Amino acid sequence: MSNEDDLIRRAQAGDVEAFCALAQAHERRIYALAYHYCRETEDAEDLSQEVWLKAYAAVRTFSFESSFYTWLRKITINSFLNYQRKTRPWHRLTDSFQDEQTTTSTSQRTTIDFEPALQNQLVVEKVMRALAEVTPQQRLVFLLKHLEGMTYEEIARELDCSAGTIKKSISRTIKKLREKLGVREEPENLLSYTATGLLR
Amino acid sequence: MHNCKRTKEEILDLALAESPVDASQMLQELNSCSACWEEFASTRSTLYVSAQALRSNVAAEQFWGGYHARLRSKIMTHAQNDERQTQRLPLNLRAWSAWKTFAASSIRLPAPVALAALLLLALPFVALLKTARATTVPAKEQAVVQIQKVEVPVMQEKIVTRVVYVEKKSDKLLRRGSTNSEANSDLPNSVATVRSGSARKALDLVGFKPTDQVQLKIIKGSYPNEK
Repeated sequence: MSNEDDLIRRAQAGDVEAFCALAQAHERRIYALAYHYCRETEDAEDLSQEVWLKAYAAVRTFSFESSFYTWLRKITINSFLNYQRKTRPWHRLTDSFQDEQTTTSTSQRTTIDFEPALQNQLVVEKVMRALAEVTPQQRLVFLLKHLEGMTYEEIARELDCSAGTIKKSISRTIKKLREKLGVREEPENLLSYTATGLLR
Repeated sequence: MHNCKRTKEEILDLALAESPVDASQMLQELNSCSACWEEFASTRSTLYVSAQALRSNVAAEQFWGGYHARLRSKIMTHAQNDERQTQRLPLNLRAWSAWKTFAASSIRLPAPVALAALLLLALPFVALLKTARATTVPAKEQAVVQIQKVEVPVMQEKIVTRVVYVEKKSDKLLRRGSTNSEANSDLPNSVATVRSGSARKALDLVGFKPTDQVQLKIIKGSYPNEK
């Protein structure tokens, strides 16, 4: 039995400390998803904590058929979709982008471990702006595919739509990103990326 | 034969390593067409840059300590509240809550097992239906009751009371009758007693001779209802 399984079983038996240990193991991924989804630190914290509280309430139903993170991600996606349906109008994200840019510099968030091509904060901001301009659903699909590495089929199952819709959604987001970033890569560079496995 | 449209459709799948596209064959295709190659390169670069940007732009290391402390405190509070609520609930409500949890719980079953279980449940029902159909006797046509009125002649009896007037005998005849009774005293005792019981009658009929012709006199109107 792995350490995580042991923690899950203890959490299922009502051990809060064990559940906190589980949370510590996955909290960064969940928070990152939440942050990129709602794009505000406060909202991201609220949303990610809501995910954990829901997970705590439902941990007894976890049946070890999938990995704990897959189960947790399901709760996360449902929480995100519910959050989307709540009062917050999403156009606010685009409207507040300028405000956020000014606060970002003073906030705790920093850019760490940049690749040479991304050493400019401007690139990050362009990516964020592009993601702010697509719909929440398209943003979520892109994040699930690109950050979480889920397949079209898996995302389609979670969001209750077809794999074709997912592919189209990702294509639109990438188009938007390309417009914002204006990326033009030299074939030689690309080949070197492929060779070194950087593009996988 | 290179087809730009078809290749461009597969570029995203190749870039995201999604479909079972033969990567080496696709790269050959892309090498043969600069436009397709440019499209692929742009897509891959966009994905690469955006992935790096997303991964880097989350939070600084010092953020996580505080975040975990806040999350932990929230989970603890939530757990304590849950416990208090459960303790506060009376036994019957706790039982109800447990029942609700049980009712809302679900189990995962492989589809064939679920199908088999459904069939097993449905079979007795279907069998029951079939037997019910077989035993059902088609309803007979309802007999039509016709009411016929038959007039039956009824004999009506009419009671007619008639008064018969009989002429009384003269006193002489009565006296004669009494002397005759004395003369009969030498008769045996039994006859004598009979005769003494009906002495008056016997006396009345003494010397009576029935006529050959009975003449009945019917007097109508003796009773008010008589017609």
